Amino acid sequence: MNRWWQLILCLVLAGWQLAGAQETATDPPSYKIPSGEDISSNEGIATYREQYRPQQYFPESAAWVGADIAMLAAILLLGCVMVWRQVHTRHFWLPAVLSLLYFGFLRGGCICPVGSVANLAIGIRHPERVGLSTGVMFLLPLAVALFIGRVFCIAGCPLGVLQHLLGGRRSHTLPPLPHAILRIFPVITLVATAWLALRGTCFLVCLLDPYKTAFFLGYGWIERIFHWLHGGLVEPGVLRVGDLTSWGIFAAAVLLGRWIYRPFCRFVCPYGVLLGLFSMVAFKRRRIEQSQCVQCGICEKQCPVDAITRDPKTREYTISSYHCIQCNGCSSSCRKDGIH
Amino acid sequence: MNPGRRRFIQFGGRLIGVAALGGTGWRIFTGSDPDAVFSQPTGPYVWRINPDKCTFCGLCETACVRFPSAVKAVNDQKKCSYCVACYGHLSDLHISSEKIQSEGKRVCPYDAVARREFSGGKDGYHIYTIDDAKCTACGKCAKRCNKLGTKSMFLIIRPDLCIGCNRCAIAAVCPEQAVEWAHSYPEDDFRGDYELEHAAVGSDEGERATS
Repeated sequence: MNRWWQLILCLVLAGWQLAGAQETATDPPSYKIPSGEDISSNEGIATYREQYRPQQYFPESAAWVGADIAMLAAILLLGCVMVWRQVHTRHFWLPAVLSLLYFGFLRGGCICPVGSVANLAIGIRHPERVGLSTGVMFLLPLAVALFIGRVFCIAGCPLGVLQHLLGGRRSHTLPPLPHAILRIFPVITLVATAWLALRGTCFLVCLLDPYKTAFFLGYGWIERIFHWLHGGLVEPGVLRVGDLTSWGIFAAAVLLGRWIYRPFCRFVCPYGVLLGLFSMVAFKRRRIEQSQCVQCGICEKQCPVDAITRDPKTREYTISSYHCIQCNGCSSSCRKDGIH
Repeated sequence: MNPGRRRFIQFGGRLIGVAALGGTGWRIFTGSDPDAVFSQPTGPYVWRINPDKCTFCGLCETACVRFPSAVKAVNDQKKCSYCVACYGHLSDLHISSEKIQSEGKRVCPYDAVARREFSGGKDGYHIYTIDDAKCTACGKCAKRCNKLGTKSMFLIIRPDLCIGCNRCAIAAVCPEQAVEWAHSYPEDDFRGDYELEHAAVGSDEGERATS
C-alpha cells in the first residue's frame, strides 16, 4: 500500500475526530406538540394524553441484513477470484478498501465475524438471540475457507484490512520461540471468548479489539452525514468517539503493525483459528510444486505471516494452510511460477 | 505419510467441517426454543436502560463510546402531570408563573427541557418535552422528576443512535446494572406499563407534590 494513501487514511480519521460540525438541528423529526386549539375537544389535556403515542426509534432497517450479506458475498467472491487467478498481491487493496468502507466505516465494524464468535457461542444455547446477518457473517467465510482457504482474512475482514492498509511494507520475522508461543494465543482467545460469552461475563474478543474506535468514529460520522442529507436530527457540536485511552491503544496497535504484519490477526484473532482449521482441509490449498522449486527462499522471506517454512531434513519449503492468509505474495514473487 | 491415509484424513476433515457448518447453521437458524417465541416478542435485541433500576447518576453522559452520548432523556406524556412549574424544568419552583419562561432558573445546563403552554393560560396545562438535539444525558431533569415529581422523565438508549457494541461501555460502568440487552419496543413507552397515579391533575401539581 502506497504511503500517501496510508497518510490520507490517517488524516481522514484524524479529521473526523477533530472536525467541528457546528450545524444545529433546525427541524427535529420528533412528534409535533399540538396546542390546545388543535384538539377539538372539551377535555383538551385528557384527549392529548389519550392520543399520545410514544415515539418509536428503530434500530436499523431490515434491509441492512440483505445488504450486509450481499456485500460480504460480493467481497468474498472477488477475493476468491483474485486468489484463483493468482492476481498480484498489490491489487488486493481493492477488496480491502471496499471492506473497510462498508464493514468498517459504514457499518461501524459491528457485527464483524471476529466478534460473532462470541455471539455464536451464545447462539448455540439461545438461538433466538442470533440474527440472520450474524449467523451468515460467521458461517459464510468458514464455508469459503473450506473451498479455497482464508480469503476472508485478506479481502473481507474489516480488522484485517485496516491492519493491511496501515501496515508497514516489510514484515519483520520474530525470533522462533516467542513466535511459537504467540501463535498459541489465538487458540486461548477462542476458548476464553466462547467460555466467557456462555458464562455471560463479557465479550472478550470485542474488548481485545484495538481498532474498534476508528470504526465507531467512521460509523458516527457517516450516520451524521446521512441524517444531515435527509434533513433529520443532527446533534450539534463535535462528534467524538472514544477517549484518549482507546485512541492510544489504537495508535499503539497501528504502530506495532508497522513492524509486525497484522499483529492482531496472527496473535489474537480467535476467528482465524476456525478459518485456519477449515483451510487445512480445503479443496484448493496453496502449495509449492517441488518439481519446479529451486529452493531460492524468496517466498519464505516475503511471506508476511511466516506461513512458509523449510524442512531442515529434506530442505523443502512447505506452506502451512493453517497460517496462510492467501495474500498471493508468494505466487507473485516466485520466479519459477511454482506456487499455486 | 501414505497417500491413501492422507486422502482419508482429508476426507474425514472435510466431512467434519461440513457437518460442523451445517450443524451450527441448523441450530442457529431453526433451533429456537418454541416456548421462546411466545414468551418473548420477536424483534431485534438492543441495549436499553431498565428505568426501575436507573438512579440517574449521569454516568451515561460520559461512559458511552459516542460523544454526544446515545442516551437521551425523554418525558413520558402519559405520566406527565403537565404542571405549571416542573421539577425537571426549574431548579427553584418559588417563582411566579408569569416569570417562569423568562427568568426561571433551569435544571438543564443546556436548556433542553422545553415548556409549552397547552391550554388554560399561564396557570393551565403545560407540556414538557426534551429537545434531543440539546440533551447530553446528564440525567439532572430525570433525577429531580423522579425524586420530587411525577416520575415521568427517564433516560433511554436511543436505538437509532446506539452503535450496538457487543459489550456496552455504559453497562460496564453502570453501578446499578440497569443497562440490559433486551428486545426493542417503543422507547418512550416506559416498559409499556402505565401507572397513572395522578389521573386528575391540577395546575397546582408541583405544589401538591411538595406538601
